[in-house]
Amino acid sequence: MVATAVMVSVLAVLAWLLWLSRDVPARAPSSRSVGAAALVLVPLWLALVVFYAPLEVTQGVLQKIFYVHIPAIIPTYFGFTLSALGGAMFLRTRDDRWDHLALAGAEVGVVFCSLMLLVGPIWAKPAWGHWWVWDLRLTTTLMLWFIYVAYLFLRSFAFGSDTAKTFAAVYGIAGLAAIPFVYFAVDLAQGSTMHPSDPSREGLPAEMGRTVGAGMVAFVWIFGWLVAKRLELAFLQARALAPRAGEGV
Amino acid sequence: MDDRIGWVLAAYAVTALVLVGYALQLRLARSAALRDVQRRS
Amino acid sequence: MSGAAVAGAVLRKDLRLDLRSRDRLGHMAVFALLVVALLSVFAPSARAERLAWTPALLWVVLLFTSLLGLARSFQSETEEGAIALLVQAPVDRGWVFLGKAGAAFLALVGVELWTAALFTVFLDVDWSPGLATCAGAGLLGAAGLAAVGTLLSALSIGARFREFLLPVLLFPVALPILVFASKLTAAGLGGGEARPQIWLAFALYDWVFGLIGYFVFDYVLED
Repeated sequence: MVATAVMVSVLAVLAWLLWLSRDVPARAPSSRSVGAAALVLVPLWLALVVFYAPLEVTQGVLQKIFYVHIPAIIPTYFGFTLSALGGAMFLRTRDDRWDHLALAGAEVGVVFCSLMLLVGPIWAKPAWGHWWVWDLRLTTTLMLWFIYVAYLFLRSFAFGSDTAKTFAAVYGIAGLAAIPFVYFAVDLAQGSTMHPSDPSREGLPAEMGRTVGAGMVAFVWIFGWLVAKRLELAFLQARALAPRAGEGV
Repeated sequence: MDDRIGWVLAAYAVTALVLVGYALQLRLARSAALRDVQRRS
Repeated sequence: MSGAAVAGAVLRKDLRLDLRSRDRLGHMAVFALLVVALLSVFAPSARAERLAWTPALLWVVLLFTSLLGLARSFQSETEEGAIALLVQAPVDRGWVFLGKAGAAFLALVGVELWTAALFTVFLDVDWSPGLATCAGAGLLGAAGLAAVGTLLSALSIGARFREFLLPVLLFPVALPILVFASKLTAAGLGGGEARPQIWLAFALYDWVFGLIGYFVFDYVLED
């Protein structure tokens, strides 16, 4: 049931963002309701974290970081997929609206990705004594972060705006294709040696599952709202750069 | 209360800071872009 | 003119350039020599330790060396303003990609053979226990690096800070190549067998990125 709620949220936000990106200026006000939804979901999730989720046996209260670390996975991958999708559609249609979506997805995605990389060590240090642990999830997240950052560098370094958009779109596709291989490669490289025991690996008690799910749903709506805001910005910036109506090109 | 609660609070605080910080940065950029658009019209 | 003919023409042109000017190949060879020689100065003297590090070391050296070569993939065209000529080829521009990547593949195979010899000389590595496995790893690795490297090199044409951008683009995407190749090489050196999943994943990776390069090059060369 939790998984369904998360999937429905993801699909709803995806559909909304796709719709929004077609006509940002007219449809921007719809983000107000999304923002409101996020504002309701966040305290709900926090309440679950504090009062509903049981204390875990080995790590005690420290384990509660789990409920902010894991939910961030969804927007991280959502952002990347959105960016690759926007890029692919831009290649086919040359419609700048798709490119704005690609950029917004990448930027907000990298924010959540960075968040995971910041929270991970905050959890790892007290839990396992090291700031960094080479576990599968954290390492793959780091690789994903590198790909994100490379994408954003490419956009800022490439000559001429249309070329930058095209090249970035191609890299987004290449990056997305690389991810499953990176995941498999990291798993392979680490063998079975250094996995810190992780509650999400073994079966999760139902209350924990629901709390994580609530976090995921909340984060997905926050993600959606942030992407909408970034889309508005992209649209404004494009308008600021565009030639005025009636001016010669 | 487990004294490691400090770490937990740090994790949630960092999350809030990053997300709010990014939203603020978007707002600032948006104001700048609006000014640019108005200056042109 | 058929697609394959275009690809062949591009490949032959690049090969001729490589063999005649010896710029690209020469620089890669000298670079590899320098790095391996340097590494051998402080490599662990115990043979077992050295052997444990060799596969990873080998592929890191190859990655950096290939960067040198890949950055040059489109240099001749850019310098002569010949990109426009490539664009006008009356076929799927994916064939141009295949030609370029093919030339890169051959160059990389040459570099690999050279580097393997260097490892034997400087680091006392014996390739015979798993020659077939190591050769397979080498071929798949060269193909992967050629495909991904050619594609990403094209993406960084004309970009600022190209020497910075290409590695930044390449390394995360090429990580699977490093891992798969070094795992296979390690298995080979140890005289053992590698799990078939690694071979499959490696071949799949090369295939996927070959396809992506082929299909996407139309858009890359447009601008």
